[in-house]
Amino acid sequence: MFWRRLHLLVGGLIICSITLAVLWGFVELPRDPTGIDVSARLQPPSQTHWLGTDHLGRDLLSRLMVGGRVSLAVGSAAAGLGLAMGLILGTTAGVRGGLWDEGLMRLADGLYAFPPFLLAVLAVTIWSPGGTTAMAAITLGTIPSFMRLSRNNTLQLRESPYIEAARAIGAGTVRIVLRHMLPNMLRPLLVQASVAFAAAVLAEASLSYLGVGTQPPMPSWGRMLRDAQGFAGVAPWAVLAPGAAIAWTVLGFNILGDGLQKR
Amino acid sequence: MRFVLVKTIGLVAAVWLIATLTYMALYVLPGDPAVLVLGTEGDPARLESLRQELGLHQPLHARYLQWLGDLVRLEFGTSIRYARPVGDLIAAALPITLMLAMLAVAAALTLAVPLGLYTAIGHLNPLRVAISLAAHLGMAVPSFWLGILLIQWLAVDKGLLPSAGFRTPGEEGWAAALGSLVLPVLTLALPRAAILTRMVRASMAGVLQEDYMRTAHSKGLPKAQVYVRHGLRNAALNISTTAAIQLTQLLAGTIVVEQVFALPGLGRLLLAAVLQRDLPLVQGLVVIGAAMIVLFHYIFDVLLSLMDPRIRFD
Repeated sequence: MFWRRLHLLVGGLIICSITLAVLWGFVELPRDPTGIDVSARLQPPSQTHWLGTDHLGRDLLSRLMVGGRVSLAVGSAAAGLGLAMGLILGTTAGVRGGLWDEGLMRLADGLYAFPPFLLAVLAVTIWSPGGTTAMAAITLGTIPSFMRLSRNNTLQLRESPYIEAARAIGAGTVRIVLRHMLPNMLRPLLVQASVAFAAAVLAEASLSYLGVGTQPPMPSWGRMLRDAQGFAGVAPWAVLAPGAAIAWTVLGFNILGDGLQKR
Repeated sequence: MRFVLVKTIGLVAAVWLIATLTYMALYVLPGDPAVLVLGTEGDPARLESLRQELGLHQPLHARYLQWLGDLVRLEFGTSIRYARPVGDLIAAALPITLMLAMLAVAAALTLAVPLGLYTAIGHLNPLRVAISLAAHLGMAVPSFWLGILLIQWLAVDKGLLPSAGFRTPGEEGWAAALGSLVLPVLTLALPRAAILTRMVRASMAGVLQEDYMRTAHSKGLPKAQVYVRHGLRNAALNISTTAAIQLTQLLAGTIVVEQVFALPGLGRLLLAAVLQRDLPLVQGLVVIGAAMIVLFHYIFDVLLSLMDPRIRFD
């Protein structure tokens, strides 16, 4: 109980800190995140630029706060939509069985063999490289894990006495799934959602680092690292800040997931 | 034997399915692949010659069968940008990626198994807490960030290792070649090692609860034998399943790491092909990459079934 609470608390606090910083960016930003100021390029952290500036003199803190929107949006889409789609497909497969189940599961196997990252790269080839394409591909890649999880849980729960009891008093399939099954498989699904969020943030950052994710002028954490790599020697803060932001976010969701899993 | 046969059919089917899906995604979904390659403002004459080259005037099923036949003979066509056979380009880049991936798996397991085992047995102490925290951090750190930091620290500041590029063993000797792979392997292996450490600890913690562990202890076996022979061997199934999934992730991770360290492997080739819309090259690489992953899982499944007979009857 203690460890569960500790994990939930620490994870929650980390996530809150990132979310608040990103949300505050909608109210006001310290500087213009895309404003180029060549006279102030590669400045170390100071009173005017709390985290310093990059190679074009752009304020790093402002860019981090705006770039966080991309990361949190991709994470939310992957965890939220992935959970919703996977849950719908997985429970229907588990409840109905037969050909529908078989077909969906083979499809999930196929998507599984394909690392989500390769899927995103393929999507970027067909459509233009960009944040939306990356987000869609990352979300699509997370669906199979949720689908498997909800299907296996449905199959397990289907045999349990209280589902049998519910069926015996004449509850319909929809009611059984929504009222009796869903609350009982929420925990593993939420754990998975937490993990998927962290993985999506990492995947988006990787794609943006490679130059096939979010495109300039929109700042993103991965892209900031790509820009800063060449100046790592003269401006280490430009490398440290975005990397730390990614790691901090991923850490928060991983710890939260751990807490949710513990009893 | 039956198990191996079923798995083999599954392997061929999976590779065929992936290849077909890739073909659909690249040549059928976009409408006109020639426009995809050259852009909508492409010169009409060049568009036409590219359509000829890709055989787009034939009906779809003829094109597909032709392509499938080529694939079986391992002919992937000619790269549009490099004007060289896709097979040659892949063959040149493959050894680097394979070496990188193998060394990274070996490094990750070498780190993770002892650390995981140590954290699982015995009570909490500062060292065990430190290992757990480090594993948590290792899982959160993006590999490209780790790579940039390692280059800055060990290559630029300390000058211990080369910062980027690959030294070919033929020209500069094996020592230089392996030296140029040390940092990329570390970058790739550390995050995987973090996940595996946690996995080893979790699996071992489960096995430690078993009755046979108590029996092994009480019949007076030495501790090392109890934990390794009785504990680790039973946890191995769980651990190796995760390790297999991690290897799949690792192959995708090589794309990023090869970019950080400017290594001319499959990942870098794929990225260049994607950015230049070199369809035959993208397709060849995706099919080869996915086939490698499927083949690896196949070998793994068969080996596992030899190790653990329970799997064959599943």
